[in-house]
Amino acid sequence: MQQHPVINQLTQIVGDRNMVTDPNELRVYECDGFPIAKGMPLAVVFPENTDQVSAVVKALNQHELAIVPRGSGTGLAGGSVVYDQGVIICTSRMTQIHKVDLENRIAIVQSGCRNSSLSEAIACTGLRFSPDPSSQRAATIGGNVCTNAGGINTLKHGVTTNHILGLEVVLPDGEILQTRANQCYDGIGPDLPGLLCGSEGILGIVTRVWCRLVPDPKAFRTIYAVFKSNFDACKTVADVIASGILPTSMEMMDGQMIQVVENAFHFGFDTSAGALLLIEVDGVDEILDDEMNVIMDIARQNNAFDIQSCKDAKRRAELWSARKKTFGAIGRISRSYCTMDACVPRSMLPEVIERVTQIGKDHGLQINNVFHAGDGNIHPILLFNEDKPEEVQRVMQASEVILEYCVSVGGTITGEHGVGVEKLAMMHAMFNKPTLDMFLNIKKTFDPRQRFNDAKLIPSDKLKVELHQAPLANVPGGAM
Amino acid sequence: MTLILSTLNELTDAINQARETNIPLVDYGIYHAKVGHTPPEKHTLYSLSGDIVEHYVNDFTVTAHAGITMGQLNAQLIQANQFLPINCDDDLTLGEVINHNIYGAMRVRYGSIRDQLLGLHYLDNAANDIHVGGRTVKNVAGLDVTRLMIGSMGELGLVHQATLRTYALPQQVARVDLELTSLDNLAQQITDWMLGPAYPTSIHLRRMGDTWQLEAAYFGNEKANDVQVQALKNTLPEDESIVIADERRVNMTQHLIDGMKSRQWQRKCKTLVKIVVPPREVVTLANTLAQMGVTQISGMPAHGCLLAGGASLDSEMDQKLIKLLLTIGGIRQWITPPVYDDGKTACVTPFAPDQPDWEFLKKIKKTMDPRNLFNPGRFLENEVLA
Repeated sequence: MQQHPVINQLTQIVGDRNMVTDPNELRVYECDGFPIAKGMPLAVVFPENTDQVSAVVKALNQHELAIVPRGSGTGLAGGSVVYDQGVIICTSRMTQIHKVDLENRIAIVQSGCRNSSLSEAIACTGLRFSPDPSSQRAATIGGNVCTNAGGINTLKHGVTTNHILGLEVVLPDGEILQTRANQCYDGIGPDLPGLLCGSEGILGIVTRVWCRLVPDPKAFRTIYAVFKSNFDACKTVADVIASGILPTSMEMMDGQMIQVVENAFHFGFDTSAGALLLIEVDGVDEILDDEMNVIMDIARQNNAFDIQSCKDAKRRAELWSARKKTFGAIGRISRSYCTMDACVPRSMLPEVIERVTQIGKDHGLQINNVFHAGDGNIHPILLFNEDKPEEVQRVMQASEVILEYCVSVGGTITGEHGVGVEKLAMMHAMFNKPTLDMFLNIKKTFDPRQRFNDAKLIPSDKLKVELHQAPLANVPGGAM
Repeated sequence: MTLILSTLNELTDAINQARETNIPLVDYGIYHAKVGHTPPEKHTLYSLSGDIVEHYVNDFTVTAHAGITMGQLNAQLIQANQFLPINCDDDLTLGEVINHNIYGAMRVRYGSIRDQLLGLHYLDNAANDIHVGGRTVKNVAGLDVTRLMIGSMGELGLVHQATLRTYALPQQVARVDLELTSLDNLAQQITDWMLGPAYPTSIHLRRMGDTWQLEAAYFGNEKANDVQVQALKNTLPEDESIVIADERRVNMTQHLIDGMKSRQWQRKCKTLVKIVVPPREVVTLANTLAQMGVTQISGMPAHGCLLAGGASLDSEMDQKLIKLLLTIGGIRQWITPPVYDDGKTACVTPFAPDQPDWEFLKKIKKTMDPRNLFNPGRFLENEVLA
C-alpha cells in the first residue's frame, strides 16, 4: 500500500524513532480505556517539544487530516479514539519537568510528564500536586488537564482545574498560545485556562502546564467502616457531608467489589460485607481524633458493624493501595468492562446506588460499584463480553438509563472521565440546544475547520457517533 | 437611568431591546464602576436584584440569583450554619463577584470564587438561557464555560444565576495580628506556616503607617485554634522581627464585619490599583510601593496580590510599576484610576502589561457576544466587533 505523503513530512519533523506507522504497532492506539470505541490511526507521532507539535499540526493541516491528541491513553470515554485517516499526536515523550519553584509553589512541566513523576520529583519538598486519579502512575498531566481529572483527594482538595495556573497550547492552526502564566495565581479577564481544562483536546493540544503545588498534609486518620448494605454506607456519606466535616476522601466499594479485590490481593477484607467505606481526614494532628470520632459515630448510627481506624502509615498505604487496585482486580473477572462516571448530589447517593443496582438487574448485567462517594461521583462498572454484540448493546442501554436517572435527580453525566465519544448522545439530556450551539461556536473559534478531535465532547453536525447501532463497528470510518 | 432587573422575563426583554436599538447593556457594578475602559456613550445601565433560589443544606451547595448581595446571601447561609468564604463587602452582588473574580485572604484555605462556583445560568445576546456546570461538586460535561465567565467583567453574557459550594461555619475565628519590622523574610515565613501545623485559614498583609501588619486567622473549634495559634507562635523568629501585636477570638459574623471595616479605605481612596505578581515577588512589590510613598497597601501575600491606594499614585508611578512588572512578572488593573484636580483622568491604561492570551480572548468575545451588547469594551478594547 502506498504511504501517505504526510508520513515523510512528519518523519522529518520528529525523526523516525518518534513515529509509528506499522499497522501492528498502531493497534495499540486504536482505543483508550473505553474499549467499545476503536479506530485505527494513519500514524502516531511522538513530538518531544512544543515547536515539533506546532510543526506537526501545520503539516497535518496541509493534508487536511484529522488530528487526535493523546497522552498515555488512560482516558475512559473514548476521547483519544481516532477517526478514519486521522493522526494521533501523542505527548507521552514530552516528559520534562522544566522547573519546580518552591517559593512560588509552582511546577512547570511538559504536558507528557506523568502525574506520578511530578509527585515523585517533589516528594521531599513538603509540597504536592494534588490531583491523584487512579491512573496517576501512567496518566500524563496534559491528560489530567484535558479531562479535568479528579481522584481520591478531590473531595477536600479539588480537581485538576483547581490546581492549574497557566497553560501553553498549540492551537488547531499550529500557532502557540500561552494563557495567563507568569507564575501568577490570577490573570485579568476571562479564565482561558479554566475553559481549556476538561476540553478533551478539542480546542488544541496542551504542551506545557503551570501546576499549583500545595502543602502535603502531614497527619492523617484513616477510617475503614463495613456495612451490611450499600444504602447504609451511602447514608453515612450523606450524613458526614451534612455534618460539615470535609474529609480528604470518602471512597466506597460495594460487596461484589470487596470480594473481587479480596480474592485478587488478600487485604483481609470481610467478604461477607455489603459495602465498605474508606474515609480519610487530614490536617492538624492534635484535632484529627475528634473529627475521626464524629465520623465513626455517624457510621455506627448507620449500622456499620466493623469500624477500624488507623494513623499507621503502613496500614494506611495498604488500604489505599486496595482502593487503587480495584480496576486491576476487575480485569481478573471480566475481559471487558465499562466504567461509568456520573455525579449526583451527595444527599441523593443512597437512592441512586439502589436504582443503579436495579437497572443492572433489569438489563441482566452484573454491575459493581467502587467510587468517590464523598463527591457523589459514582462509577458503576458494567461487566460484559465484547464478543457478544447483544451484550454490548445491553451495556450501552443500561448506561444510558443510569445516566438519564442521574441527570433527573440533579446530577451530571460525567464527574471526571469526560464525555469523549461514550456520552455524546447524552449531552442532549444535560444541555439545551442554545448551550450546545454555544459549545460548538467556541469549538469553531479555536478550530474553524473542525479537524481537532472533532465529534468528541460536543455532538457534531459533521460526524455522528452512534455507539448503540452497531457495536464494535461504530466509529465513523468503520475501523473498529 | 438604571434599570433594575429581577425576573428572567425582565432580563430577556432588556436584551431584546438592546438588540433592537443596538444600544448595549452595561453593568459596571458597585465597587468596580471605574474598572476598565469607559462604556460607549449610548448605553443602558442596569443592575440585578435577586435572592436565594434553593439552598441544598445537606449537600452544602446553594443556588442564587446573580443579583443577590453577598450580605444577603451570607446572612441566609449563616442561619443554616454555613457560609460562603469570599472576602468582600456586603453590598457587592454575586454577579459582580463572579464577573470580577473577587477573592480575599480566606483564599489560602478555601480558594477563590473559581474554586467555589459549580454552575451558571446566563443569557446570551439572543436572550437564550445558557446553563453550564450544575449543582454537583464534580462535573466535566461540556466545555467549562462556568470558569470562562469568571473575571470576564460581564462581557460574554448576562449571568443571572449561580450555584456554589458552601462551607460549614466554624465555631470561632482565632486572629493573630503580627507586626513586622521588615518584609524580608515574609515569603519564607508564609511558606513555613503553610508546610506545618501553623497553616492559617487566611493571611492578610497591610501597611499601617510605617509598619507592616500581618493578620493570620484560623477557623475552627476552640481546641483546634489553640493548637494552631500556639504552632504559629512557635515559628516566630527570636530576633523579634515579627511580634504579636494583638490576638483575639471572634465569631464568623464578626470576622466578616471586621473584614469589611478593614477594607473601607479602599472605597475612600482617590486612586486604587490591584496588582498580582508571583507570590515570591510580593515583598519586592510591597517594598517598591512603600518606597514610592504609597501609604495604603494591603493584600494577600500568599497569592501575590496587593491593593495599593493613595493620592501619590499617578501615571508616572504607573509607568514605574509596569516596568517592575515586566521584570518580576505580573499584572495590574486600576480599580479607581487617578484623576487630576481638573477632573481629567490620568493617562493610564486600565490593564497592563498586555498578556499573551488577550488577543485570543477578543475572538471569544466575538463568538459569545457578536453584537457587542454586553459591557462593550470593558476589558477588551472598545472596538466595534459586530
